[in-house]
Amino acid sequence: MSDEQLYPWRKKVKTLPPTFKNPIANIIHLGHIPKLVTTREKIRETLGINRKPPTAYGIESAKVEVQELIKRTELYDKATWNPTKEQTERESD
Amino acid sequence: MSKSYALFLGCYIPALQPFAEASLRQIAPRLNMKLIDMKGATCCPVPEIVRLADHNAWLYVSARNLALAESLGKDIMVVCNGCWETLYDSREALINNPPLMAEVNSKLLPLGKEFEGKIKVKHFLEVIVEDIGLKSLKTELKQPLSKLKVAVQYGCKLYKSLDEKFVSYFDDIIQTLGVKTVKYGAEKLCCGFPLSLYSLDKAMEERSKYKLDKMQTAKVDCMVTTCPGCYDVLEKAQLLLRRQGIRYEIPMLNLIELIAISLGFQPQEIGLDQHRIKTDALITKIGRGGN
Repeated sequence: MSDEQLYPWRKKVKTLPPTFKNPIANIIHLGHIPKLVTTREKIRETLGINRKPPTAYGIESAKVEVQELIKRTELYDKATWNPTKEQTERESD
Repeated sequence: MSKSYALFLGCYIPALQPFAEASLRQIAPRLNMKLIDMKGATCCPVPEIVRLADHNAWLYVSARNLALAESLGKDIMVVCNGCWETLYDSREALINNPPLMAEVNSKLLPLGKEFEGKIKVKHFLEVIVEDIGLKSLKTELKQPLSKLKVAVQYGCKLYKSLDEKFVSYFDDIIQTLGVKTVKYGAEKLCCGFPLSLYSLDKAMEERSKYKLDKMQTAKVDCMVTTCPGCYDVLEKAQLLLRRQGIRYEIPMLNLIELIAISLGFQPQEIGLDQHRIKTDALITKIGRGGN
């Protein structure tokens, strides 16, 4: 069952709430939500695991693939901060 | 014979809670689990944000992760409740809708990937109870923790499993470890993560603080969860509320860490001393066998 069938009254998200923007921007640019900061990399190393996990944090091609996939959706445009466009859309709602 | 899994780490564990990853990599051989890294895995992506913002983006990115595991020929083991929801739901959506599967694969094929639905998505709890077995877990226990009083934070997603079986699995594992759970009266309450996307203040006051107050009143030694999202929110809440002069000091543990301790790994080996909420008292108590 699709989300539309499950939640028929749910309003389509035309513009992203501000709290969605950073996580989505990070997924597009890093492939993940939180940044992997140096202090955490050091902790990883002390714990005997690789400084960078074997995920998109350390594999550039994975980020490119996620970007390619998201570019094929409306999310890429929604994630781009455009206050004028958002104001217009809010007023038309 | 050991069982092999494609390991899906998600975002929060490798970047913010590496103690859980280190614990998992330590306990895996002891429990006859072989973990195969999913190289190039990304955010699942997070259901509370990406699924709401754009269903297609959510489906394409999760299908890419499923395809990575399928290329390894192994079922996925997920160590995050949110990742489990995304990967489980997207797999179900795809295998039950061949035209949708074809459409999604048309996006994956240019990347040299394809998902055919040959693999399953398993939560860590499911792997421990259904594949490894509680008896095998019990035979490996080295560290008695019978006097340790823990508050369990199941997280909302576990209630979405069939017949809420993951909630029972969580309890069964805790019982096998011999740890004492304390009923604090807010077990089913959400940690506040989704609400924090609307209002951080409201989430802190009406969810996180409420839960932490209940745990504090119940005098627990620590909180245990399988949800890195709950872990993060309740840890941040403790750190943020300090600024208002409210101190809790309730150590947060991933269940994987608690299993590692029970198997006899030293707290320092798995980074229990590196947590942002102090664990000194907890480590001392563990050193006394939980007494």
